[in-house]
Amino acid sequence: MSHIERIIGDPATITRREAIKGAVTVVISAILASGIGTFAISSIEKAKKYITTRIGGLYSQDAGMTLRVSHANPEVITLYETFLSPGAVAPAESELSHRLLHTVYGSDVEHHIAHLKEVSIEEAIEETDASYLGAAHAAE
Amino acid sequence: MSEMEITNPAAKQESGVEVKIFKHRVASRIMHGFVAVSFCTLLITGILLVAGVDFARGASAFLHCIMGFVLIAAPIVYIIGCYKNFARFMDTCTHYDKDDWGWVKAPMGGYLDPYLFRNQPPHYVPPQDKYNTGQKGAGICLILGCVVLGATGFLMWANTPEGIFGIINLELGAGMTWFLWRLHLVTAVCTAAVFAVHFFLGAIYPVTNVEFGTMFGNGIADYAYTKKKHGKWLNTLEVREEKEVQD
Repeated sequence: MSHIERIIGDPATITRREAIKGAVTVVISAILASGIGTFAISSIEKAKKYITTRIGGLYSQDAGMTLRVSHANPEVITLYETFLSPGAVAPAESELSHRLLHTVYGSDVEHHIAHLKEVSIEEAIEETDASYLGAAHAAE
Repeated sequence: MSEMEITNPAAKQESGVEVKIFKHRVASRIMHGFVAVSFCTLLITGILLVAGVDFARGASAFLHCIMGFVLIAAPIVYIIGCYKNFARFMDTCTHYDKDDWGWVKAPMGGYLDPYLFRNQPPHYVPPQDKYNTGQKGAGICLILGCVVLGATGFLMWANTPEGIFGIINLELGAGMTWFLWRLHLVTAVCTAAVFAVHFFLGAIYPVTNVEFGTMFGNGIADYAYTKKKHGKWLNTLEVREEKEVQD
Protein backbone atom coordinates (compact mmCIF):
# COMPACT_ATOMS: atom_id res chain seq x y z
CA MET A 1 0.00 0.00 0.00
CA SER A 2 1.13 3.52 -0.63
CA HIS A 3 -0.11 7.02 -0.09
CA ILE A 4 0.63 10.50 -1.36
CA GLU A 5 2.85 12.70 0.79
CA ARG A 6 2.22 16.33 0.01
CA ILE A 7 4.48 19.01 1.42
CA ILE A 8 2.94 22.47 1.39
CA GLY A 9 4.63 25.75 2.27
CA ASP A 10 4.89 29.43 1.57
CA PRO A 11 4.85 30.45 -2.11
CA ALA A 12 8.29 30.36 -3.74
CA THR A 13 8.07 33.98 -4.86
CA ILE A 14 7.34 37.12 -2.91
CA THR A 15 5.04 39.97 -3.80
CA ARG A 16 6.17 43.53 -4.43
CA ARG A 17 4.62 44.60 -1.13
CA GLU A 18 6.62 41.98 0.75
CA ALA A 19 9.84 43.01 -0.97
CA ILE A 20 9.23 46.67 -0.14
CA LYS A 21 8.39 45.94 3.50
CA GLY A 22 11.58 43.92 3.86
CA ALA A 23 13.62 46.76 2.40
CA VAL A 24 11.86 49.35 4.56
CA THR A 25 12.65 47.30 7.68
CA VAL A 26 16.33 47.14 6.73
CA VAL A 27 16.40 50.89 6.05
CA ILE A 28 14.60 51.76 9.32
CA SER A 29 16.95 49.49 11.27
CA ALA A 30 20.00 51.04 9.61
CA ILE A 31 18.70 54.57 10.28
CA LEU A 32 17.95 53.72 13.92
CA ALA A 33 21.36 52.14 14.54
CA SER A 34 23.34 54.80 12.70
CA GLY A 35 21.20 57.51 14.33
CA ILE A 36 22.19 56.32 17.80
CA GLY A 37 25.83 56.13 16.73
CA THR A 38 25.79 59.54 15.07
CA PHE A 39 24.04 61.11 18.06
CA ALA A 40 26.59 59.67 20.50
CA ILE A 41 29.69 60.56 18.48
CA SER A 42 28.50 64.00 17.28
CA SER A 43 27.43 64.95 20.83
CA ILE A 44 30.88 64.13 22.13
CA GLU A 45 32.51 66.01 19.25
CA LYS A 46 30.34 69.04 20.06
CA ALA A 47 31.24 68.77 23.75
CA LYS A 48 34.96 68.50 22.95
CA LYS A 49 34.72 71.49 20.58
CA TYR A 50 32.95 73.53 23.27
CA ILE A 51 35.53 72.57 25.90
CA THR A 52 38.41 73.47 23.56
CA THR A 53 36.80 76.84 22.76
CA ARG A 54 36.15 77.47 26.45
CA ILE A 55 39.76 76.64 27.36
CA GLY A 56 40.97 78.99 24.60
CA GLY A 57 38.66 81.73 25.89
CA LEU A 58 39.89 81.36 29.47
CA TYR A 59 43.55 81.41 28.40
CA SER A 60 43.12 84.48 26.18
CA GLN A 61 41.18 86.27 28.93
CA ASP A 62 43.90 85.37 31.41
CA ALA A 63 46.63 86.67 29.07
CA GLY A 64 44.96 90.11 29.08
CA MET A 65 44.75 90.39 32.87
CA THR A 66 47.02 92.82 34.76
CA LEU A 67 47.38 90.51 37.73
CA ARG A 68 47.89 86.93 36.59
CA VAL A 69 49.49 85.26 39.62
CA SER A 70 48.56 85.48 43.29
CA HIS A 71 52.10 86.02 44.58
CA ALA A 72 52.32 89.28 42.56
CA ASN A 73 49.00 90.60 43.86
CA PRO A 74 49.66 93.73 46.05
CA GLU A 75 46.67 92.96 48.27
CA VAL A 76 47.96 89.47 49.02
CA ILE A 77 51.45 90.84 49.67
CA THR A 78 49.99 93.45 52.04
CA LEU A 79 47.94 90.78 53.82
CA TYR A 80 51.11 88.78 54.50
CA GLU A 81 53.20 91.81 55.48
CA THR A 82 50.62 93.17 57.92
CA PHE A 83 48.91 90.13 59.34
CA LEU A 84 49.82 86.62 58.24
CA SER A 85 53.61 87.00 58.59
CA PRO A 86 54.14 90.55 59.93
CA GLY A 87 57.06 92.34 58.35
CA ALA A 88 57.66 89.64 55.77
CA VAL A 89 56.01 87.82 52.88
CA ALA A 90 56.32 84.23 54.00
CA PRO A 91 53.50 82.07 52.62
CA ALA A 92 53.12 78.62 54.14
CA GLU A 93 55.54 79.35 56.92
CA SER A 94 53.64 81.15 59.68
CA GLU A 95 51.23 79.29 61.98
CA LEU A 96 48.53 81.86 61.21
CA SER A 97 48.68 81.46 57.43
CA HIS A 98 48.77 77.71 57.89
CA ARG A 99 45.73 77.83 60.11
CA LEU A 100 43.62 80.28 58.07
CA LEU A 101 44.54 79.44 54.50
CA HIS A 102 45.55 75.82 54.31
CA THR A 103 43.33 72.77 54.14
CA VAL A 104 43.62 69.08 53.45
CA TYR A 105 41.44 66.46 51.70
CA GLY A 106 40.59 62.83 52.08
CA SER A 107 41.88 60.77 54.97
CA ASP A 108 44.00 63.67 56.35
CA VAL A 109 40.92 65.73 57.30
CA GLU A 110 40.48 64.25 60.78
CA HIS A 111 44.16 64.73 61.58
CA HIS A 112 43.94 68.33 60.36
CA ILE A 113 40.85 69.04 62.51
CA ALA A 114 42.61 67.59 65.56
CA HIS A 115 45.62 69.82 64.88
CA LEU A 116 43.40 72.91 64.56
CA LYS A 117 41.78 72.08 67.90
CA GLU A 118 45.20 71.87 69.53
CA VAL A 119 46.07 75.50 68.71
CA SER A 120 43.45 78.28 69.09
CA ILE A 121 43.38 81.25 66.72
CA GLU A 122 44.58 83.55 69.51
CA GLU A 123 47.54 81.26 70.15
CA ALA A 124 48.31 81.18 66.44
CA ILE A 125 48.30 85.01 66.26
CA GLU A 126 50.56 85.23 69.31
CA GLU A 127 52.93 82.63 67.94
CA THR A 128 53.11 84.37 64.56
CA ASP A 129 53.63 87.80 66.09
CA ALA A 130 56.32 86.46 68.41
CA SER A 131 58.02 84.73 65.56
CA TYR A 132 58.05 87.62 63.07
CA LEU A 133 57.75 90.78 65.12
CA GLY A 134 60.16 89.36 67.76
CA ALA A 135 62.68 88.61 65.03
CA ALA A 136 62.26 92.16 63.68
CA HIS A 137 62.82 93.73 67.10
CA ALA A 138 65.86 91.55 67.65
CA ALA A 139 67.24 92.64 64.28
CA GLU A 140 66.81 96.28 65.24
CA MET B 1 -9.85 29.36 19.16
CA SER B 2 -12.27 28.99 16.29
CA GLU B 3 -11.19 26.86 13.39
CA MET B 4 -11.36 28.27 9.89
CA GLU B 5 -12.76 26.29 7.00
CA ILE B 6 -9.88 25.25 4.74
CA THR B 7 -10.78 26.15 1.18
CA ASN B 8 -7.24 25.82 -0.22
CA PRO B 9 -7.22 22.54 -2.24
CA ALA B 10 -3.49 22.10 -1.55
CA ALA B 11 -4.03 22.23 2.20
CA LYS B 12 -7.12 20.03 2.40
CA GLN B 13 -6.78 16.69 4.03
CA GLU B 14 -8.05 13.92 1.77
CA SER B 15 -8.12 10.18 1.91
CA GLY B 16 -4.78 8.71 0.84
CA VAL B 17 -3.00 12.07 1.09
CA GLU B 18 -0.74 13.04 3.97
CA VAL B 19 -0.35 16.80 4.14
CA LYS B 20 2.85 18.09 5.72
CA ILE B 21 3.15 21.79 6.43
CA PHE B 22 6.66 23.11 5.91
CA LYS B 23 6.66 26.13 8.22
CA HIS B 24 10.27 27.07 8.83
CA ARG B 25 13.09 26.70 6.28
CA VAL B 26 16.51 25.41 7.28
CA ALA B 27 18.07 28.89 7.03
CA SER B 28 15.35 30.36 9.25
CA ARG B 29 15.83 27.62 11.84
CA ILE B 30 19.63 28.01 11.88
CA MET B 31 19.34 31.81 12.19
CA HIS B 32 16.73 31.43 14.94
CA GLY B 33 19.02 28.97 16.74
CA PHE B 34 21.97 31.37 16.64
CA VAL B 35 19.77 34.23 17.86
CA ALA B 36 18.24 32.12 20.65
CA VAL B 37 21.60 30.86 21.95
CA SER B 38 23.27 34.27 21.72
CA PHE B 39 20.30 36.05 23.34
CA CYS B 40 20.22 33.60 26.28
CA THR B 41 23.99 33.93 26.75
CA LEU B 42 23.73 37.72 26.56
CA LEU B 43 20.94 37.69 29.11
CA ILE B 44 22.96 35.61 31.58
CA THR B 45 26.26 37.48 31.13
CA GLY B 46 24.38 40.79 31.16
CA ILE B 47 22.76 39.97 34.50
CA LEU B 48 26.18 38.94 35.89
CA LEU B 49 27.69 42.24 34.72
CA VAL B 50 24.83 44.37 36.06
CA ALA B 51 24.86 42.49 39.37
CA GLY B 52 28.58 43.22 39.64
CA VAL B 53 29.54 39.58 40.18
CA ASP B 54 33.33 39.65 40.30
CA PHE B 55 33.72 35.98 39.42
CA ALA B 56 35.04 35.74 35.83
CA ARG B 57 34.03 39.34 35.16
CA GLY B 58 36.47 39.71 32.29
CA ALA B 59 35.28 36.47 30.69
CA SER B 60 31.63 37.50 31.09
CA ALA B 61 32.29 40.87 29.46
CA PHE B 62 34.21 39.30 26.57
CA LEU B 63 31.52 36.62 26.02
CA HIS B 64 28.85 39.35 26.17
CA CYS B 65 30.58 41.28 23.38
CA ILE B 66 31.15 38.22 21.19
CA MET B 67 27.57 36.98 21.58
CA GLY B 68 26.33 40.50 20.86
CA PHE B 69 28.19 40.29 17.57
CA VAL B 70 26.54 36.90 16.85
CA LEU B 71 23.09 38.29 17.73
CA ILE B 72 23.46 41.01 15.10
CA ALA B 73 25.51 39.09 12.51
CA ALA B 74 23.19 36.06 12.26
CA PRO B 75 20.11 38.07 11.13
CA ILE B 76 22.24 40.20 8.77
CA VAL B 77 23.58 37.06 7.06
CA TYR B 78 20.03 35.69 6.96
CA ILE B 79 18.64 38.88 5.41
CA ILE B 80 21.34 38.85 2.73
CA GLY B 81 21.08 35.12 2.01
CA CYS B 82 17.32 34.63 2.38
CA TYR B 83 15.80 37.98 1.59
CA LYS B 84 12.53 36.46 0.37
CA ASN B 85 11.89 34.76 3.70
CA PHE B 86 12.83 37.86 5.62
CA ALA B 87 10.62 40.08 3.46
CA ARG B 88 7.68 37.71 3.85
CA PHE B 89 8.22 37.62 7.61
CA MET B 90 8.26 41.40 7.81
CA ASP B 91 5.14 41.65 5.66
CA THR B 92 3.34 39.30 8.04
CA CYS B 93 4.61 41.14 11.11
CA THR B 94 3.53 44.54 9.84
CA HIS B 95 0.14 43.54 8.42
CA TYR B 96 -2.75 44.07 10.78
CA ASP B 97 -6.48 43.78 10.07
CA LYS B 98 -9.78 43.19 11.89
CA ASP B 99 -8.72 39.64 12.76
CA ASP B 100 -5.81 41.03 14.73
CA TRP B 101 -8.11 43.37 16.60
CA GLY B 102 -10.33 40.35 17.26
CA TRP B 103 -7.31 38.46 18.61
CA VAL B 104 -6.59 41.31 21.04
CA LYS B 105 -10.24 41.49 22.13
CA ALA B 106 -10.40 37.69 22.65
CA PRO B 107 -8.55 38.68 25.06
CA MET B 108 -5.03 38.23 23.78
CA GLY B 109 -5.90 35.27 21.57
CA GLY B 110 -7.84 33.65 24.41
CA TYR B 111 -4.71 33.20 26.51
CA LEU B 112 -6.14 35.44 29.22
CA ASP B 113 -9.64 33.92 29.09
CA PRO B 114 -9.02 31.50 31.98
CA TYR B 115 -7.79 34.36 34.18
CA LEU B 116 -10.10 37.23 33.24
CA PHE B 117 -13.32 35.36 32.39
CA ARG B 118 -13.27 32.33 34.62
CA ASN B 119 -16.21 29.89 34.27
CA GLN B 120 -17.44 31.62 31.12
CA PRO B 121 -17.51 30.31 27.55
CA PRO B 122 -14.26 31.12 25.67
CA HIS B 123 -14.20 34.10 23.36
CA TYR B 124 -14.15 33.80 19.60
CA VAL B 125 -10.62 34.10 18.24
CA PRO B 126 -10.46 35.04 14.56
CA PRO B 127 -8.26 32.89 12.27
CA GLN B 128 -4.65 33.98 12.25
CA ASP B 129 -1.86 34.29 9.73
CA LYS B 130 1.46 32.38 9.89
CA TYR B 131 2.08 34.31 13.11
CA ASN B 132 -0.70 35.48 15.41
CA THR B 133 -1.03 39.10 16.52
CA GLY B 134 1.08 38.58 19.62
CA GLN B 135 3.85 36.89 17.66
CA LYS B 136 3.80 39.73 15.11
CA GLY B 137 4.13 42.34 17.86
CA ALA B 138 6.86 40.34 19.56
CA GLY B 139 8.74 40.04 16.24
CA ILE B 140 8.74 43.82 15.73
CA CYS B 141 9.69 44.50 19.37
CA LEU B 142 12.56 42.01 19.25
CA ILE B 143 13.90 43.38 15.96
CA LEU B 144 13.80 47.00 17.14
CA GLY B 145 15.13 46.01 20.56
CA CYS B 146 18.05 44.11 19.08
CA VAL B 147 18.90 47.03 16.77
CA VAL B 148 19.05 49.42 19.74
CA LEU B 149 20.94 46.88 21.87
CA GLY B 150 23.38 46.27 19.01
CA ALA B 151 24.01 49.98 18.39
CA THR B 152 24.44 50.92 22.05
CA GLY B 153 26.44 47.76 22.77
CA PHE B 154 28.79 48.44 19.86
CA LEU B 155 29.39 51.99 21.10
CA MET B 156 29.99 50.82 24.67
CA TRP B 157 32.41 48.12 23.47
CA ALA B 158 34.30 50.68 21.39
CA ASN B 159 34.29 52.98 24.42
CA THR B 160 36.32 50.53 26.54
CA PRO B 161 40.05 51.30 27.01
CA GLU B 162 41.00 48.45 24.63
CA GLY B 163 38.24 49.28 22.12
CA ILE B 164 37.02 46.58 19.74
CA PHE B 165 40.17 44.43 19.46
CA GLY B 166 42.16 47.67 19.28
CA ILE B 167 40.69 48.44 15.84
CA ILE B 168 37.82 50.75 16.77
CA ASN B 169 38.29 52.93 19.81
CA LEU B 170 36.03 55.76 20.91
CA GLU B 171 36.14 58.17 23.83
CA LEU B 172 32.56 59.07 24.60
CA GLY B 173 32.97 60.72 27.98
CA ALA B 174 31.24 59.99 31.26
CA GLY B 175 27.84 61.52 30.41
CA MET B 176 27.38 59.76 27.07
CA THR B 177 28.62 56.48 28.56
CA TRP B 178 26.00 56.81 31.29
CA PHE B 179 23.27 57.57 28.73
CA LEU B 180 24.22 54.63 26.47
CA TRP B 181 24.45 52.28 29.43
CA ARG B 182 20.98 53.31 30.67
CA LEU B 183 19.45 53.03 27.18
CA HIS B 184 21.06 49.60 26.76
CA LEU B 185 19.75 48.45 30.15
CA VAL B 186 16.18 49.69 29.67
CA THR B 187 16.00 48.20 26.16
CA ALA B 188 17.46 44.92 27.44
CA VAL B 189 14.83 44.70 30.19
CA CYS B 190 11.98 45.38 27.71
CA THR B 191 13.38 42.95 25.14
CA ALA B 192 13.95 40.29 27.78
CA ALA B 193 10.32 40.66 28.92
CA VAL B 194 9.09 40.07 25.35
CA PHE B 195 11.53 37.18 24.99
CA ALA B 196 10.27 35.62 28.24
CA VAL B 197 6.67 35.60 26.97
CA HIS B 198 7.83 34.29 23.57
CA PHE B 199 9.83 31.50 25.22
CA PHE B 200 7.05 30.57 27.64
CA LEU B 201 4.38 30.30 24.94
CA GLY B 202 6.65 28.62 22.41
CA ALA B 203 8.42 26.13 24.64
CA ILE B 204 6.56 25.67 27.91
CA TYR B 205 2.82 26.45 27.64
CA PRO B 206 1.18 23.04 26.96
CA VAL B 207 -1.28 24.32 24.35
CA THR B 208 1.36 25.95 22.14
CA ASN B 209 4.69 24.29 22.94
CA VAL B 210 4.37 22.20 19.78
CA GLU B 211 5.90 25.29 18.09
CA PHE B 212 9.21 24.55 19.82
CA GLY B 213 9.51 21.19 18.06
CA THR B 214 8.71 22.81 14.73
CA MET B 215 11.34 25.54 15.09
CA PHE B 216 14.11 23.44 16.61
CA GLY B 217 13.17 20.26 14.73
CA ASN B 218 12.56 19.65 11.03
CA GLY B 219 10.41 22.72 10.40
CA ILE B 220 7.26 20.66 9.77
CA ALA B 221 4.23 21.99 11.65
CA ASP B 222 1.47 19.90 13.16
CA TYR B 223 -1.57 19.96 10.83
CA ALA B 224 -4.28 20.05 13.50
CA TYR B 225 -2.48 22.77 15.44
CA THR B 226 -1.91 24.86 12.33
CA LYS B 227 -5.51 24.47 11.20
CA LYS B 228 -6.70 25.58 14.60
CA LYS B 229 -4.25 28.40 15.23
CA HIS B 230 -3.13 29.59 11.79
CA GLY B 231 -6.01 28.72 9.47
CA LYS B 232 -5.69 31.96 7.51
CA TRP B 233 -2.10 31.10 6.62
CA LEU B 234 -2.99 27.50 5.76
CA ASN B 235 -5.34 28.79 3.07
CA THR B 236 -2.49 30.59 1.31
CA LEU B 237 0.03 27.72 1.08
CA GLU B 238 1.16 26.08 -2.13
CA VAL B 239 2.28 22.58 -2.93
CA ARG B 240 6.09 22.39 -2.69
CA GLU B 241 6.54 18.68 -3.22
CA GLU B 242 4.29 15.73 -3.80
CA LYS B 243 5.41 12.11 -3.92
CA GLU B 244 4.11 8.62 -3.46
CA VAL B 245 5.47 6.86 -0.40
CA GLN B 246 5.04 3.32 0.83
CA ASP B 247 3.05 2.82 4.04
